Amino acid sequence: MPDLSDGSAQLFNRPCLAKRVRLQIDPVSGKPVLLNQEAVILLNRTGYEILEQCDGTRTLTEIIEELGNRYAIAKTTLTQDVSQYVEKLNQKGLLQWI
Amino acid sequence: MDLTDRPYGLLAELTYHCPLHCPYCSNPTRWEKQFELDTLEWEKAIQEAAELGVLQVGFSGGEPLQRKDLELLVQIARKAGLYTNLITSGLGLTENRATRLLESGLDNVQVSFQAAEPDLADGIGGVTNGHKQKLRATEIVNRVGLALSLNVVLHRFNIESLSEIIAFAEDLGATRLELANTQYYGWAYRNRSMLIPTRAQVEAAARIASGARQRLAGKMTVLYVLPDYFTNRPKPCMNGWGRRYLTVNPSGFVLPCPSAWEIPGLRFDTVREKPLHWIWQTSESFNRFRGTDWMPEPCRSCPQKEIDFGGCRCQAALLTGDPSNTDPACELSRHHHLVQEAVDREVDHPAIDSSIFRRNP
Repeated sequence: MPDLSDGSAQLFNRPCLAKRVRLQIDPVSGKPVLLNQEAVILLNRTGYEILEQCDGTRTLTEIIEELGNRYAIAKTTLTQDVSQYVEKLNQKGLLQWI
Repeated sequence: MDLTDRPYGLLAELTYHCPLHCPYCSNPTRWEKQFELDTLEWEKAIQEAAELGVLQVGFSGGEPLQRKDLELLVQIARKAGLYTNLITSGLGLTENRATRLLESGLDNVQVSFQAAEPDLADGIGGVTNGHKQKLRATEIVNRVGLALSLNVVLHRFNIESLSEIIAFAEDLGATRLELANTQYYGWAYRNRSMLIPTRAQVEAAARIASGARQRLAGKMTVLYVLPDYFTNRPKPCMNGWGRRYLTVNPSGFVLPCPSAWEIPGLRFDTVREKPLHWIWQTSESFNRFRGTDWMPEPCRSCPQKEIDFGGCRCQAALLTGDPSNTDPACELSRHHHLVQEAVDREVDHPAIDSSIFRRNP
């Protein structure tokens, strides 16, 4: 059985910020930041570009395709990295699947 | 001071009045009645906190719902760009109020439960029908569409029903469950011999919590931290003194942690008299245990010193009489026997109703 723990099982599902999570700009650093009542995650540009697309209307595949248009990264690498990133945030309760 | 040291979280203790009387309450055991900050004073404090870099505010108490201006304060905080969390017993939360809080921009509601079983819960809270009102509050939170998290303080009387507590939180639709082992300061310290669980209870609870965390990943976040009395190494208290968090108490005193009020010999400044950035950056109280220069041995030469920050100053003060000692929760502390003796001491037939319950100020 293939190992699906990297989130690739979710390729056709739609990630969405969890209900109590906010994505905004940190006025002190000028960087995007992901917030809930406990977590403060300062994001780099790629993290932000992934998360701003996690609005529940796009599948993970569509998000990966869009990033593929912006960056010259091999599709397999991109799929693996984005899937893992999204899965990690899901485990932390910051993202949910629709 | 390192300029990257900015506060992320503000705990706004709006009032020390509360309908509950939990024997482990984190509010001060000695509190002279003083005028609470008014709306304008809180507005100034919240705006100054945002300018300082704070991104999250927890409205707490006591019971913050007892403040009629809570909705206004939530609006002010949201306008300042802060993530807003209401930390409440749930008592006093009507549908009308919850709707207004939602419209004011409240992000999350954290409701405390004392146990999953109503009689035990009300016995711990020292209140009649409190549990029932809390259940109603969680229904209201879900109905109006606010996010719900639960907090349950664990001790000898409820830690064995951890599985029931977790199932209870799932049933209520919580997105997050904090299982908070009692920390023995203030009221809890007075009741320590009664509340402290056995080593076997703590170990069994850790296994149950870890199973639940894996089973519920992605659905409900389960947070369980081993109590420092049982870990042999201290907790990284507040992620370091004056490093990430600040607390403003009902009279406007600014504290590096909610329990710091009871540390003897420290003088705190108030937002009534001083700008918050001065208190954070320059005040004596915030610099007293900041960084690592204040540390005595064995902390000073310890490789863990930037990880656990020497543990908890309140605990060092309470157990050893000197807040600059190594936290006795650390096995390297020469006072560690004080913690071990408390763990090993058996109390015959402990009963929750023989505890000293918190009194309102």
